[in-house]
Amino acid sequence: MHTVLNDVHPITSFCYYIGVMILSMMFLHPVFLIGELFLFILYNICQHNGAKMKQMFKGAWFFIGVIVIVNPLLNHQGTHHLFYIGRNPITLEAIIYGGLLALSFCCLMFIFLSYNLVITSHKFLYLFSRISPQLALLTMITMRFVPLFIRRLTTIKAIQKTRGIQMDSGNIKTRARNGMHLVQILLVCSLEEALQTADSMEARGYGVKKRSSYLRYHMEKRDIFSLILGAIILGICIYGKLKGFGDLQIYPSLGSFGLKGIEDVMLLILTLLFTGYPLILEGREWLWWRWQK
Amino acid sequence: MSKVKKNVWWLVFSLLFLLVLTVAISDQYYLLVSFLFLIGTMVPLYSRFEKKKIQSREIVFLAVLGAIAAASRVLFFAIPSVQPMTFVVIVSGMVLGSEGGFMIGATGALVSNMFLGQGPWTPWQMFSWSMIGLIAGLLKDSALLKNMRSRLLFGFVMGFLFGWVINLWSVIAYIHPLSWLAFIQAYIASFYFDLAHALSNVFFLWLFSSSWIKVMRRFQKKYGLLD
Repeated sequence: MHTVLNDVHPITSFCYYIGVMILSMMFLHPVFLIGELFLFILYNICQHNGAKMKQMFKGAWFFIGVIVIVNPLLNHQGTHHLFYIGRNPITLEAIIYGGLLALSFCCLMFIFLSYNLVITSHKFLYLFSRISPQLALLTMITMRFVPLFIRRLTTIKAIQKTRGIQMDSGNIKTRARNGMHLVQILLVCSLEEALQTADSMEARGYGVKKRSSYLRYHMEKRDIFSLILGAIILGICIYGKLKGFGDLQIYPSLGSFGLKGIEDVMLLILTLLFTGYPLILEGREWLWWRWQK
Repeated sequence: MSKVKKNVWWLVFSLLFLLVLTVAISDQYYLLVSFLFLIGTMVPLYSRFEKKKIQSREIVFLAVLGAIAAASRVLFFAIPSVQPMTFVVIVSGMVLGSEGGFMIGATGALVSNMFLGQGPWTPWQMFSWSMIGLIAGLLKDSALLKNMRSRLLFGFVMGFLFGWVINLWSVIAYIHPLSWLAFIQAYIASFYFDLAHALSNVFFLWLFSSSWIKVMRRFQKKYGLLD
């Protein structure tokens, strides 16, 4: 689904995703992480990503389980001993630490789920084409080739089937061998065709002059404002983290789950403000629409 | 050549220095350091490619091989760990040399993830596949890759190394405190997948490496590419 974050300048949205990745890994505190997770789920729902979220959990629950279980098995620090396996105590602290890491992992998964919708490959290449034009060209051509090759492969498959080379039946060894045979035919015909295209590009004057480019995106006031504000918030958060705020005290002994003081509350508000940026954009748009009517 | 060697030594030295420095200061920032390692290894190679004046033919040649690698990974996605991408990267490295192998590995990983979904694993996959291409390119004239048996062994080892490097980020990021036991457990847990990857490399290299190398050499010769 199209959200407002899809419309802002690619630099702004890319910086947003880098920022939330840093924030979700920086503050290992249950209140922070649950708040962020809630906002990410809300935003993913806004993007109509519900089915994908379910599918992701099917793939990721095993890894989440491993994070929660392996940490207490390997780590025996802490004072709240729950029970013993052999001589090694399983401590409450280690379990909670594992849980926090698992929460942070969930956040990361949700971030990438919405990242894949917002930063399309077109925007990604736009971002990097100015840093490294040759590389961006290579990536762009490669990307364009993948669907073409898959389409071409179906044609090759149909033709080769009349010769008895097919992937539909036989044991796994024959199938894999036939499959690679098809890919080899694809290699030969694609290379021939692509190199001729390259020659014709050259013949039409590719690389003679510096290329101009059509830029679809414009930096608006909104982008500059959000970039500056975001940088300030992120700066304050990193400063706060370095000063030791926003952390749950786990070792040597578990601290309280609550926030420790005004500094922690401030950091929490700033973090949630940063994380909720796409939702704020969405809400602003919604209000604007209502007022105009 | 001597300048290149000097640069490589300088790079290795500075990366090692970085490692020692961080361990000396604090043992908390492994994830950050490992990321700096990725950047420190890949950015110089990328910028070398960027600075080179490259013909459109050569770019297209690299793109076709990268796309074949990516497309074959997308096609074989249903079978976990069995994909011909590593095979394509090794073979391309053997024909085109270290730089071509590096570019095809990195681009193939990035592009296939554009179809399969980007994640925190993308930089690590780009690193692993590009390094496989680089190593295959460096060893292309050695007896190791010329002989079929040792080539198969190379593919087998690369399959395991690939999985081990990919495991690194998850262990570093989500297991605390780090211990050898944690790494060994992670490697045991992924053993089946790594074995499947290694065996599929052996299978593809055994049946197809000679004919693919022949095809690619022929094109290289016909169009005079990347010698």
